[in-house]
Amino acid sequence: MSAAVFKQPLSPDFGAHLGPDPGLLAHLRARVQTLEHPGGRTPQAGAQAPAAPIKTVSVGAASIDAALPWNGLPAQGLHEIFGDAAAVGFCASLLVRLLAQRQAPILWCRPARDAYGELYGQGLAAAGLDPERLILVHGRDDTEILWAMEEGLRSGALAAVVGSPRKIPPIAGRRLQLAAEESGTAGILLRPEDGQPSGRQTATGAALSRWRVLSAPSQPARGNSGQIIAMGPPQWRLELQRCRFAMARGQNLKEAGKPRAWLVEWCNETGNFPLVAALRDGSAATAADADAEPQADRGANAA
Amino acid sequence: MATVTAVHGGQRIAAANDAARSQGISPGMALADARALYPSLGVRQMAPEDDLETLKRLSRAAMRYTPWVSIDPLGDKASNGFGSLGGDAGLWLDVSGCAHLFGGEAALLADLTGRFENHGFHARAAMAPMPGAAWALARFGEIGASIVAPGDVREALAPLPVAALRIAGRAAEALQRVGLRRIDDLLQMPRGPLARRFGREVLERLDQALGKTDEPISPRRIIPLIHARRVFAEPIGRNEDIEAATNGLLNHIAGELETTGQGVRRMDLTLYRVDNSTQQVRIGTARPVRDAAHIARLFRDKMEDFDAGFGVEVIALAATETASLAQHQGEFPDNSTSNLSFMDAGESAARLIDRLAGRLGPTSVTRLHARASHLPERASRAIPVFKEKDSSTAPDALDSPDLWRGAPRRGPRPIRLLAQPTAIDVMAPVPDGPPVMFRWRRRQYKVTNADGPERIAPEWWRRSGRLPPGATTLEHGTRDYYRIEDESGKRYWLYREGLYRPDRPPRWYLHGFFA
Repeated sequence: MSAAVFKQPLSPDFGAHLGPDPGLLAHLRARVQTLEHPGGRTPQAGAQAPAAPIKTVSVGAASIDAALPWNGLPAQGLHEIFGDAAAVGFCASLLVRLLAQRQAPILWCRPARDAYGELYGQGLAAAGLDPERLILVHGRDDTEILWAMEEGLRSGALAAVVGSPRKIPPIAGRRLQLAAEESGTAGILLRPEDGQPSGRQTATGAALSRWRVLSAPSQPARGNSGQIIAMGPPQWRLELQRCRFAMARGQNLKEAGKPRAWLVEWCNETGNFPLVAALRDGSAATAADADAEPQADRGANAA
Repeated sequence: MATVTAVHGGQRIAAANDAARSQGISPGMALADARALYPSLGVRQMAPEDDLETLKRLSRAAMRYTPWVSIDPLGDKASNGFGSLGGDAGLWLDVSGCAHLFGGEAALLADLTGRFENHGFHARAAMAPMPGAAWALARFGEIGASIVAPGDVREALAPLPVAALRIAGRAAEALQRVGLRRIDDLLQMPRGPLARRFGREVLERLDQALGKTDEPISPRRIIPLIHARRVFAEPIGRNEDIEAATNGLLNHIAGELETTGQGVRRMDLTLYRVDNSTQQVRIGTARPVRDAAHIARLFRDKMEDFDAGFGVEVIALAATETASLAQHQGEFPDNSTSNLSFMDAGESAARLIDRLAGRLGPTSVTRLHARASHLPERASRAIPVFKEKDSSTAPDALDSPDLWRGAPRRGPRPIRLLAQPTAIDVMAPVPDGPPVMFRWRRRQYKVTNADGPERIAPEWWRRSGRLPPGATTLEHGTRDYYRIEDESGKRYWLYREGLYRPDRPPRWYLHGFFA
């Protein structure tokens, strides 16, 4: 027989425990982080010096890399790229740099029918990507594409896995991110929106970063007297819409979580962006939905 | 009931069932005569294709006894002269060395006829040392199932009619006319005059039946190099059990492969269900494999929705395509080469490809293959990943990065290409200049920037065959490609087909998208 008896009178500030205790919350957050990342690669650790250095790949320009919490994009993880035809080019330029780091094939999973045509070997080669490296998989539906992507990411035998599913269920996105992280392979969700009239697909919250890449009017090459002599290199508008571990750098929390945009010029030969102009505010529309994003992210990370 | 076919302008009986035969109706008879004998005779048109299909199904079912099964190519040609496969058609089974697996020759034969009987086929079977004798005894023997030992063939055949020797047409008629009705009669005759008078066929058939000459039978399926099978005492139905049994066979085959230094490229798993239906599961691998666990995994992917029905009695596993494995182990990927393709990319990548192709289908997993061609759509092609770069593509065998890069002065190429160029409406101020506006998919695009043209002439040495008469390839197939940028900065690859002619508006096509 047992009974608990309070002998001590209630302290006057007892009720304060029911409110949020900043110390306790911080402790719990840290515990969640260690549970999520047993390897010690916690964002907190990354703030000072990463315990295990994360392998990164350059986005193509030092100034953009510097704006990312990892100083480049992690080569082990899932990234999501929206946009029009330029997104395919941006993805190809990332693949070129991933291939330079690791001599392995690339798995590219596509829907069986694409109104915008097939990947063209000669065009990829012109972008610096060796077509012999590609394994193309055609999935009849999203299930097959997601399955092939996960198999590819789990195998650990690839330099990168690219996939274009139409819809991504939240669990599937999580599985892909986990598979990418465990095998140390880069996963890219390439989601061209040029077929969609609304231009917006549902994004997965699991990806480490989310980009939106759109074509922008290019500057034609001009002769000495200002006459147009040739078409200039293509220009893209890169927009970092979301960055999952933006909180890695405490001081950058506000800044890095905010979508940032750059206007870049794509140089086919090097795959880098020799000309970069940071767009301070971006367009009104993107700024608006960007404000909502970090809130949701913070909630997801805390939960 | 009988089936009929049109012969020489008249309807004749092709095959008749037992009930019809008992009324005196026999194959070869005119339909009118048969109707006279039995007015309410049920008649169907002969369907040789369906007959063949049924025979194929039966032959697959018969493979449970021996891998060496063949459809009797003669059918009942000998009996009615139509060469149809219906009615009296047959199967050859070479059961040498198989009988003991089924409890002896008699037990095998009883099991065989019983099985066919259960499925509504009236079957007669005979076992003899040579195919000819077995054929004769199965059709003309006294009892439904008989076994003849090597020494007794002559005696067993002697009382049978001459037709049992598979002799047809003129020779059969001639024998009939002189009163040689039984095989015994032929055996009494001297060989020389027999051959002179009735043709060589008679002697040949006689020798085949008596085993004096060999008669080769080609099996329906090529005998696999290595195979293993397992017969269950009781039918099994759970997929886990089937998987376990498959793995057992796989281990056995892996052992055999190891001793011969081979790896498997293609493998067939055949499951024989109780109801005589079979299911075949086939897997292929990108490179020779000997690892039982990997192959088992490929089979598991394919067997996910397998339905065992009433149960599986026999499973057979066959390595239908193998290749030397040692030769692949010697190659180490050289990191210095730039054109290292995924084919040398290591074991785990090859296994990944196997799994992808196993689940999505071998044609869904492709790689890009460069060809020496000026036509953009011919220059790069997606080919199934399992397909080797074989000698048939000899003119394109100069596989090198240059084929991807193209000539140094070649124009730009898009990152995505439409398989079929789509026709578009275009507004061009100058007939041979770039457009200022084009419509595609009910949307208008204003051109702000254009580059070109790059002229690509058709490959006259390849006949396209689609040209209207009188037109030259130069006039029709020539394309002037432009790189176009619209207001938003998107870039397209358009071309104008044919050379400019004042009497005909130029046709424009959209062919690709730049990044």
